Amino acid sequence: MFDDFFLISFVPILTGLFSALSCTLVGNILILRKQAMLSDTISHVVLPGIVLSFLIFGNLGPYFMLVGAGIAGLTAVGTIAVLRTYTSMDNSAAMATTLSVFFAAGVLMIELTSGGNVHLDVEHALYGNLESLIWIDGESLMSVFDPAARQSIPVELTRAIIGFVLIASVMLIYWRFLIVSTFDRTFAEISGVPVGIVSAGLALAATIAAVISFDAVGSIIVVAMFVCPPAAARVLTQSLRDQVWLSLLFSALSAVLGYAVAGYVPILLGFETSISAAGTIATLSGLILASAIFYSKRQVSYDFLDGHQT
Amino acid sequence: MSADAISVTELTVDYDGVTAIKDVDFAVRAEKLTAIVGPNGAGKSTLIKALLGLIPTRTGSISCFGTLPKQYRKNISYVPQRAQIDWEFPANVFDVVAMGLYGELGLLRRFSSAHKDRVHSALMDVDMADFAARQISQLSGGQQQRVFLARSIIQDAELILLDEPFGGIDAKSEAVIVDILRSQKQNGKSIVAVHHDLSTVKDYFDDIILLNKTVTAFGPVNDVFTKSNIEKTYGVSNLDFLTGRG
Repeated sequence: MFDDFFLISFVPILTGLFSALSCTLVGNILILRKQAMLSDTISHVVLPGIVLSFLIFGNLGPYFMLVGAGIAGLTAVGTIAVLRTYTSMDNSAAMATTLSVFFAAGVLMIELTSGGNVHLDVEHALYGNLESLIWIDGESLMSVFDPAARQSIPVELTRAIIGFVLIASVMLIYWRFLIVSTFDRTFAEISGVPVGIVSAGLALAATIAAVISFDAVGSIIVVAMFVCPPAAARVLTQSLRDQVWLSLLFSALSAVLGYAVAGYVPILLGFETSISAAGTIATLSGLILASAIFYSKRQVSYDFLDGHQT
Repeated sequence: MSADAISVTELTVDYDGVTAIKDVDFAVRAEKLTAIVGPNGAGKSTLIKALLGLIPTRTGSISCFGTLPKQYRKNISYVPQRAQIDWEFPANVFDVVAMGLYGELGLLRRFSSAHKDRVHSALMDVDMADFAARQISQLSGGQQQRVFLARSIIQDAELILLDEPFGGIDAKSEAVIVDILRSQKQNGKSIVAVHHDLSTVKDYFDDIILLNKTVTAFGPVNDVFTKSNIEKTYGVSNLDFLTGRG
């Protein structure tokens, strides 16, 4: 059963892993800004952006997708800002309406363009395409070092790795500005931190994370990986550094274990087919969050029994 | 230094589409403790935001030591209301005070041991050195305010603006904070604070700005903080209630 690991599973696992890590990295800041909903919004809003860039350029190349999705993401952030400024809508209402209308428009656009050779469809948008990332020349670990075999590695993996490296390095460089403007925006602005650019950059990072993940793993994982691992880490630690590392660990665990469970457990149990990797990964991240909450509450109640906590 | 720290002429500022302060004129003397006092909705926070150059002004001008607030920003330190901050943020006391250095450090300059020493010395100034490793969620209101003062001190700004530094803290912490502000004044800082409690104005501050949409009076507390000026600012009917504590 593991003979064809490099053919069938190697690329999907790594693609899922790097997509998940990118989303989780950005999600750490979003939950501290109480903007977790922004990840939800952006990951849905990129759909019409991608479809639109396909309609205009007739191409689903990564750069066209990124441009289309980037424009859609920033348009959505702008729409939210306009709704908040000029109407009595609060943040969550503005985000929820923007999300649903943009996504609906994307679904409509897909249906209007279907019949051609577009490989976009609604199901694909939700569940992604992880299982289809077959590495034709992948025979063993040695294939990774064989330039000829590397040629046939699906582009989704390359994109996911580049996206992760980009997001991680930009966040590392801007770390101080991110933190101070998240904790105390006014103070940051007066200290000379370009808070507007930092916020737009964060939205852009969320968009990039969403786009690179979207095509391969679908919006279900994207949304879960933005929020669940950071939230789980958040309830377990009061140190920001620990929170980030723990969240990355949870994220990696969900991605790798989730894929393995989806791919191998049903077959081991005697079923004919495996289950959705995207759904399993997202569910696993939810279970990790639930365990983290349970664990943190249990500690408190023990303290309570000892009489330390009132 | 004899120049005024701040001078404001005919300042009108709209906030959320409403005129929050109108035709405001005043000056703040350098190296003094100045209170901005007025009823709720008088535009105190709007005035602070305008002084910081954070919101656009409709008419009028502001100058800080002779220059525009935005150009002067590096020399202004701001201490926000405690209530505006998420104190559950995962940071300890040291982290928060170190943020005072981020503007100076920029993105890439290393946080050296000299910077570390500055954080500790600022914490000593506010008598919080023993709390450096404490989570900010575990602090009392007065301690939180002292951490913010340390973050302000470390910036070594000439002008310190505080929004309600005594809001919701106990009397003992209040006394400690007043001492800190006085020693900052001795070090040549000019300090302006939005203040709520009329009964402590005379004890804490040198100068006062009485504000209710427009400035009703400003100057040294002993000259300006009179019954008639307070009545003018708060309206006569409210006066007994407001000064009842004193």
